Amino acid sequence: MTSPNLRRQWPDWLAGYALLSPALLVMVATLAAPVIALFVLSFWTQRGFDIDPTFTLANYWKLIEPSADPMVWMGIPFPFAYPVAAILMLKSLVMSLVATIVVIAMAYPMAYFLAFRVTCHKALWIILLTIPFWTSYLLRVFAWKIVLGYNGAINTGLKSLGLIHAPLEFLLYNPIAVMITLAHAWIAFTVLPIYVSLEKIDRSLLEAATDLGDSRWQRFWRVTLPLSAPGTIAAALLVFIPTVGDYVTPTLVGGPGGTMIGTLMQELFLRQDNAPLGAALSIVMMLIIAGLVALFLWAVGYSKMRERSR
Amino acid sequence: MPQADNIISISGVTKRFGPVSAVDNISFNIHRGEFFSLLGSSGCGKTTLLRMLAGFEQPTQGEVLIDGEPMAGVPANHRPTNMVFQSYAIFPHLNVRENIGYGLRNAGISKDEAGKRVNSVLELVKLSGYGKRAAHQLSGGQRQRVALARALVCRPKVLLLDEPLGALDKNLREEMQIELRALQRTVGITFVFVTHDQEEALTLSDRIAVMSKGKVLQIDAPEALYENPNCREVAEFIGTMNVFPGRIAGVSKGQTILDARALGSFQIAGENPKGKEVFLAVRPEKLKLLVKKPAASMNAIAGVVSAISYRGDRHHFLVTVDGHDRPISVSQQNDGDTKSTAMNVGAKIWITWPASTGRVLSH
Amino acid sequence: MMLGRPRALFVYAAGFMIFLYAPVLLMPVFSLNDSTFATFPLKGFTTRHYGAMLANTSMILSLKNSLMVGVFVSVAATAIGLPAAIALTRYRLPGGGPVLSAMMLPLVIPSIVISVALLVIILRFLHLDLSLWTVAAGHILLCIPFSMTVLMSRLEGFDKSLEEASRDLGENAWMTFVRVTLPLAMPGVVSSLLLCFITSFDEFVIAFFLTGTENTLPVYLFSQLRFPNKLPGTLALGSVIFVGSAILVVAAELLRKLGVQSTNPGDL
Repeated sequence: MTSPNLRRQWPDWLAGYALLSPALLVMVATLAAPVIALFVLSFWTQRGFDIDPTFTLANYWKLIEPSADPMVWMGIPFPFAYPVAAILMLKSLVMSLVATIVVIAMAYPMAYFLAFRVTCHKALWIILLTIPFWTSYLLRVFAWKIVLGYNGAINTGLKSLGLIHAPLEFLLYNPIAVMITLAHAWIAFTVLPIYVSLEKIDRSLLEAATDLGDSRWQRFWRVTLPLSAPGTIAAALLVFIPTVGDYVTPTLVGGPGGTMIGTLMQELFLRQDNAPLGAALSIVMMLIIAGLVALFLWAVGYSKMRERSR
Repeated sequence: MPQADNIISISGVTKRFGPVSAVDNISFNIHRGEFFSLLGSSGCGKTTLLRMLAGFEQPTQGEVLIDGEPMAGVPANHRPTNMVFQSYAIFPHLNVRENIGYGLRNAGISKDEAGKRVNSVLELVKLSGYGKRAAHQLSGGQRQRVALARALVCRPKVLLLDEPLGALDKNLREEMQIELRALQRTVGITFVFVTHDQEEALTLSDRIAVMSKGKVLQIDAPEALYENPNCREVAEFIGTMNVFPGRIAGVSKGQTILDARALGSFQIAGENPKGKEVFLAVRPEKLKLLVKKPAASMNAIAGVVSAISYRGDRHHFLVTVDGHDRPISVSQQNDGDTKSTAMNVGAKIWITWPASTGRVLSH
Repeated sequence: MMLGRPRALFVYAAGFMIFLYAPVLLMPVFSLNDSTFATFPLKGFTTRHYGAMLANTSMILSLKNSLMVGVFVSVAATAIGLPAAIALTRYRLPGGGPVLSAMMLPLVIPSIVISVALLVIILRFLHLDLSLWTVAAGHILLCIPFSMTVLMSRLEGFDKSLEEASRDLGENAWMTFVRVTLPLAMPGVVSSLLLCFITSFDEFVIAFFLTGTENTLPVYLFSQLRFPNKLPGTLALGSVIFVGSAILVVAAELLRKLGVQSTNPGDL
């Protein structure tokens, strides 16, 4: 209680950063440093089992090297000497985009129901939506293989009901199967963020809109949707960004037609052992995703939107 | 006051958060054993100042002495102060006894002695028999008493209270005000009390420091603060005040003549330097309404009643006067016959007051 | 007029739940079916696939590996996350916002990028061998955002002045942590331990890239998916993992809810 104890206190920021230091150290050691290493490697060359650490842009050049006769895929010409990467990149982006739109379109009404209609057992609904969020991604994808497979639940189920005679072959191993599976596997990640953004809306704002003459639909378009937009956009990005590079889903349910950029990366690193080219591909993929996301956020005025809904 | 009587001495204290000065070069002393209030509207720096006394914030500049000891670098847990938090901060995982006994573990006293002290302080705040209650089983008033007991049991040299009555409803608040004042007299500890409620500060305090924008405007006893504010801001923050700008026209026989331009000239008790631009301030209850023009010896203004509100024990009039932008507030005792039918809205009346009730404010 | 009729929305929600759960719940159904194939019509009830699973030594070994990695990762990520969460909720930190955003990065970086980046630095720059340790390193990175989110929401759930009150009553920073912060944060801490454990236990891509000779359970499971004749055993294993994870998730969520409730009802 008495004050000969004149030991100086640490300034706030110093004490704070001391507490943060283990986490920062982990982030630097397992994220920042590896990404820098990946970046450095993308300028080197693989020669057999060895790496030639001479600076070269050859790996990047290989990704965009023009070719005289363009390869045509689904009517789109790819004028590259190594068009696989570009085709898979574009295909991954489109598939992720479609899956994301499907996910948001399906998750939004569910989140709306949870936020505005559920009055009792809300915790039960939330827990039921949370369980798929945390349980094995691999298992959820695998489940679709069982559902959609040649001898899967849908085919054998329909057959035993006498609706079909031969199994439907188009169910599995194509881009549609990949998108359905992606949508299912990631949908649990989106309901909760959208729900939170809806739940945060002050109910008196909705009453005010009604009081000022809005119908239910008008109120939804003019108040509810704009105010929940930041949470919805965040949820969409939380699905889009990771799914572009997804490896599990295309491998398990994609077949040859459903491969994505993640499949190529895995091959370059583990099978073909051309890690520098894989590194360049990873870097380009991250830059493209970051660029698209930044462009999208700028286009919808995300930062302003977030400030308004504070 | 002799130096030895100051329990807290604040000199040149400034606290900046980034570019904002929450507390701006403040110096004053708090006497041993007094009930001292820091009064001001939200954001005036009163809570920041209190937190610097408690040791939760460090002054950017300046020095705080508590009982003669410099407090620079002394953390909150080594200061001879204890605090009653605005939210009460009752530990939710401990019961009432454990909450109150929390600070005694470090004081180096035996378990028996600690138990006795907890018992006696429980009695002091009228919570005997509540010792085993969990924090969430207490009402707002009871939580407030536990917070008080928990701080008092440590026998601090200074008890710091951060708007402790703000969360209570009006009746309970008035009851707790009386108890708090009685408690302070019983224990004899210096209380430093933060509030934005001027009535609360006037009721409880020996002295009040009125703060605004990080500065102390005036420190005085409640009565002096009300009767003799030193500036318009204090005058208008504590109660209502009618203010007339003007110039000192002359001084004679202990009286000042103020030239209030379009309103005429007024007499004020006391002498003031001639030619100075000043403000004349008069409280609404010091004004009287007359239907006829009063004698020449009284100050008087003619006006028209623009609004009347009924306050139970009194009537409150707003009177519009030509040449004065704001209506003048007049408060009249409801003694049954003051508000005659002649004083309805729209009535032409006279406002009058004796020279002794006006005050001259320089800013 | 979906919004106009609450009942329509309820039907939608029920359908949504069926879409969410039906594929996953087919796993336990087929695992109890007396057949080598996951096909309708169901043949008969059996638990023999579960018996066979328990007799499978390589599966038991990978289960042991997963448990070890999971426990280590959950303890490490929570131990790292707790001081960081305290720093970000209790201290005025210049640059606190960007630091928090950086810590949430593993949530949005495709795990294959995290995997190959770690693979590159471990093999090509540090010249270390892959092992369960390298898997654990990747998993700790992945778990930090979860641990931080759970712990920060718990720490923000109780009044900062409780800790100030403890300091004011004479306790130093460490004892304040022990007597006030830790007991109040405990539901969040346990919840973080459980969720980090599940995250690590169920994670496949990082483990697939970074493990050496020892398999974790998901990696083992993945290797079995290629063999159609091992399907029933795989289904049994998948069912056990799913049910086990679901129980841990429910426990973690209940703990979080209970913890939040017990501190608030006194507020009037």
